[in-house]
Amino acid sequence: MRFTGNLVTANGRTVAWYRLAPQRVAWLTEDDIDHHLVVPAAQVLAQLVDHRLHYRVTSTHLTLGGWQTRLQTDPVPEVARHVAGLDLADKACYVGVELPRRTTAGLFAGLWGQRRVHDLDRLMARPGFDARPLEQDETEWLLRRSTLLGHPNPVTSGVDAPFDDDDMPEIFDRAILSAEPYDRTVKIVNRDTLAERYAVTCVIGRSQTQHSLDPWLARPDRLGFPVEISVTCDILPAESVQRGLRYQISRALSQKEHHEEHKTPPEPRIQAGIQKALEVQTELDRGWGTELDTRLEMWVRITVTGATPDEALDRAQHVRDSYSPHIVVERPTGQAHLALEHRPGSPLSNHAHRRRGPVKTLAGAIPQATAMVGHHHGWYVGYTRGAGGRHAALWDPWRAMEVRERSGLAAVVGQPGCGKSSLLGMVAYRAKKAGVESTVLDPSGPLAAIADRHIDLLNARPGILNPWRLIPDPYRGHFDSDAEYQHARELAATTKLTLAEDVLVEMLPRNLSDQADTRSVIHQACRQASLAPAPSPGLVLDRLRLMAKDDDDPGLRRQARIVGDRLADLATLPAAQLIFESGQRIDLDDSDAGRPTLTVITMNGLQIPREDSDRRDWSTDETLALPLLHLAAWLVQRSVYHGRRDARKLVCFDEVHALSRIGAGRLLLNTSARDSRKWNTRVILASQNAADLLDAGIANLVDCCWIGTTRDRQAQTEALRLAGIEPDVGFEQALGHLSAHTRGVGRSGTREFVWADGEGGCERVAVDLRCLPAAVRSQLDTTADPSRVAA
Amino acid sequence: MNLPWDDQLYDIPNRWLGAKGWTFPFQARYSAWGVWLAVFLVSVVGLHRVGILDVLTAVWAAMFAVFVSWALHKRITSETPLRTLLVGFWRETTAPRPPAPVTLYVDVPKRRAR
Repeated sequence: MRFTGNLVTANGRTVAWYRLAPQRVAWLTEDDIDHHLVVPAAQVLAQLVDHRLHYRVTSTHLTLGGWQTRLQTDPVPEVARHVAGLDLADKACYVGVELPRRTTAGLFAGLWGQRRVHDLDRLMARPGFDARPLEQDETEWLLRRSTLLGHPNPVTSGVDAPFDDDDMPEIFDRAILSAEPYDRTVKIVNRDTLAERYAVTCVIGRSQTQHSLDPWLARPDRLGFPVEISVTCDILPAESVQRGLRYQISRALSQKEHHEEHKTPPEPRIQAGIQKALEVQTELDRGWGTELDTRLEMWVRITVTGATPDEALDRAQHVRDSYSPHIVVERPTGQAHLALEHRPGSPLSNHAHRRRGPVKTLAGAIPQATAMVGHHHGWYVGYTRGAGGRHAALWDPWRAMEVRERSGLAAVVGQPGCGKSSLLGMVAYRAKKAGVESTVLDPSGPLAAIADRHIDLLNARPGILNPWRLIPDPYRGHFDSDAEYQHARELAATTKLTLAEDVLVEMLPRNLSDQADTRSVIHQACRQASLAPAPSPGLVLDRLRLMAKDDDDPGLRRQARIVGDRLADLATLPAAQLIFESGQRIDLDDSDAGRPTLTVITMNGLQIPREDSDRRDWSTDETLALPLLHLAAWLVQRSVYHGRRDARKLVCFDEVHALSRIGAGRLLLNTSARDSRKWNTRVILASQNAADLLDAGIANLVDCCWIGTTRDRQAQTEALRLAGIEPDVGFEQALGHLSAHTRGVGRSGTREFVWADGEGGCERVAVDLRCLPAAVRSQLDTTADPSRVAA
Repeated sequence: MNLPWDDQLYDIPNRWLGAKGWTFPFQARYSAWGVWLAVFLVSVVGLHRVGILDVLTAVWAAMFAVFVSWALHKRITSETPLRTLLVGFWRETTAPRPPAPVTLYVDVPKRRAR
């Protein structure tokens, strides 16, 4: 055997090896899977008639060093050690295409072979496969991986020169493979470490019709232990299929006739065989779908390993169970040679358990299907828990703005207790450790425990929420031209005015705020107040009193008096002082030097009215709560404009549902979404219902989305729409089963989300807080625990 | 989209029920008859070479051939034809075996008494 680049030559045959791009199947509709994965892959397979293909599916387990490299941007150093202990792996799927032997004529054409490989490269790169030729290093790794089945990741030599027969013992002799006669397992000893593993190879036997929604070669991914798969497959030419078909039909008819001769009822299998033969014959004769109906035969080997023979056999039983009852998995004799089949270039050890079918059945196996979500480098947030198996989910929160030039808006939705606050806390803690300036609006307050600076707004200094001060004045240095700067100034002035108006109108009872004159008098008063050097809602009250006395229109005078009196009553409340005072002496921005990294703004005691409650039933505290929350959100939004535009920033808003109810709140959400890209800010919006974000008109700006447990049917549909997942095709129920509690089992503590990462990845992810220090974990835990009272 | 297999097509039973007008009380596959015949002939030839071939031993040979054929056909299916069973047997016999334990003998020179 020898190999160079991606070409492995053994026994006079050359196989070109490719790596298939991983594919996501989770949260895709059947149509999507068929049109984008199964049919294109079947078309590629149909182009490879008369070729033998080898599929190899394996996994790469990173060592601690490997995880440290991948998680080097993670600011919490303990994470790499934690992840290395979780036995998380990345799936790798390879396919080798056996090149036809050279003809005599071909020998005269010097470049014939190369051209052939080049054509094959282009074919394999087509959609459905998206495969690329292996590098020399990868080919060597695959050979070593296939030799040391079940052992830790092999290390390649780094040699770039071709490997020939003399060099192969360097790879193959690393493992001592042995078996007793008719032994149920094969012993594989690593010659370097003397570590022993026991392997059991199963084969796929009789199978019933599959469904394309279930990639049958990716099923073992759910088992939670590494599985090695080897598939040898021959794509048959049409003549050979027709010949075989005719033979089978004549055999079946002859059997039927033989039974009739003896007046014995024929077995149902005979009739079923004739029926099937006629179906296949019709498919092939009609000509339609010819490509997809191209026939193949294949041999599928699935190998599991264990530290002991019993463990390996137990795992083999799990594989068998995972395919039961529609597919029979068997453990045949000749285990040692079956295990050797996994090595690229090895021949088929036995032709038993041959599977036959159209190419679309193999294409529908989607061996490259895996959990695809998150980024290759970034912060570890948890691990995937869907059908694609357990893989680390990493998130680079600023990749959307810095690389993909997208909005930095992330939505976290789900019912109370689904883990929104824990997720926000985890991200905010990481940002703090990374030195990223972060501001979190957390009305209920659990995140205050991890803050560098905690502002309890309800006990803050009067005037801190003066609408005119919350909108920052543009800084000339941030704009390229005077025109842009002037435009930004005008925009800021308008926003201030709109915000003040909206907030004051929001404070009024519904019967008063709905009157046309109310908005008119408030608008006029606000306009006049904004001309003052230090405008504030308190000044608006003064203007309203003046209007009540001096305005020419008696109707407006009356309205100004009513509105002024009402607002004046509210202004006497302590919480309202935060808004009505001018607050000129408060430095909202602090100085840049010594600025705290993580600021958490809480509003403990704020009584946010229920979403479905009637405004007429609101108490005074509830009436004030929404304006306070909106203004607090604008206070948080200020932090986006601090410092340099390119500097990474994080802004989190909890309880977004209250923000989207009024115009100023929706404006804020739009502003955050729009400015997040320009100001390199990851904005995270947490809400109980996705409808809040859909109603605010920012669904199109959402970059990534986390959906927690959602049980209401309508809310499920809206959450799916927000995440870009097709609604009404059956995914809704899965949202209700996230973080499912097992009856009779104590608290699981794990929170699951469906994470759509904005880059096409989407998977069920368990957020793993265990990677954080125990003290931080405890601070982020919002679940009631009576034992803490005793402590 | 359904992903069908052609298993049914290749799973057609192949039985010989007897000559026309003479139906056996049992059903056996053509291959079973072949195996029976082969084993029977080999047994008869063996008995003849040993010199103990008579009617009784021939009947015993026929019975033995029936047993061998029955035992083999419990394993022979459309999934595992006879040839693959033989290949499987060959693979088992030629599988790499655990390295034999090596016994080292060390001659320790006797210390000369002084």
